[in-house]
Amino acid sequence: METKTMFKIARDFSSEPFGRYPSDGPFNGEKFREDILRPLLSRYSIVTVDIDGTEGYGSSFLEEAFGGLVRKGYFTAEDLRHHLKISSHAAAFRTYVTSIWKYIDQASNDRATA
Amino acid sequence: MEDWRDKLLWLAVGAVVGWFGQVASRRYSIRTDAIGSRIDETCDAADELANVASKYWALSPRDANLAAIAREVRVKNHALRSLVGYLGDDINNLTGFIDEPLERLSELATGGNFDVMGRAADPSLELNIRTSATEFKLACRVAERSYFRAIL
Repeated sequence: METKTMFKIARDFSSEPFGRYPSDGPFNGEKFREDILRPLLSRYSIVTVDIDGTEGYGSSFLEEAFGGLVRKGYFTAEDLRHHLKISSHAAAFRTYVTSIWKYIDQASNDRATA
Repeated sequence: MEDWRDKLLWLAVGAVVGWFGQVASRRYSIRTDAIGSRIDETCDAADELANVASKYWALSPRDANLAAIAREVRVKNHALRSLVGYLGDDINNLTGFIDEPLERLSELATGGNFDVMGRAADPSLELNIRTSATEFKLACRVAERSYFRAIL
């Protein structure tokens, strides 16, 4: 397993990510999770996702992309705490970091109670 | 003669202290005004998000304006989150006050089936969205009051 990598959403995926499923738009949460996040997390021990510079994120995109990693059973919230870093240097994007971890923990709780 | 010199000296010291006091009070007043207006702006942004999100969720999935209004909701959501981010630089422990209400409002406006093609219209969300916006604004005011109390 390689050590670490950095993925910048605005530069390497889309400056306008939105939607939950592929039918909702080309740069949706499911696509980001399946084509980008999951492979990166399987290949690298530390994946840093830089969320700055986009037009913002809807909760549906973030929940599907990040919460979905746990909901689908690919990783546990504990795994993600060790291997996934969410980076934001801009004040405008700071609150999304809290949201992403909230969706991950929520998905973990939902799985535990299911 | 010496008596006059002492009086002059104390007068000068008093003037300097008074001048510093005035400068400090002016700076304090400018800062409190700036933070107060930033909080007003943030509360307005919450109302704007609530208005456009209520409109979005009341639309039928077949409405021609759906995509445009969804984009407007995303933009307003980002504007609100940006303002909160910048406000966090000014007010310590802001997150303790407004994180939860912000998440609730943002989740109601842009979560669930938001941006999902063919999602059902849900006008009942309007009440929840507006209630969340009010809770968010209330939390902002509590944060503001707590901040001013702490620096006084």
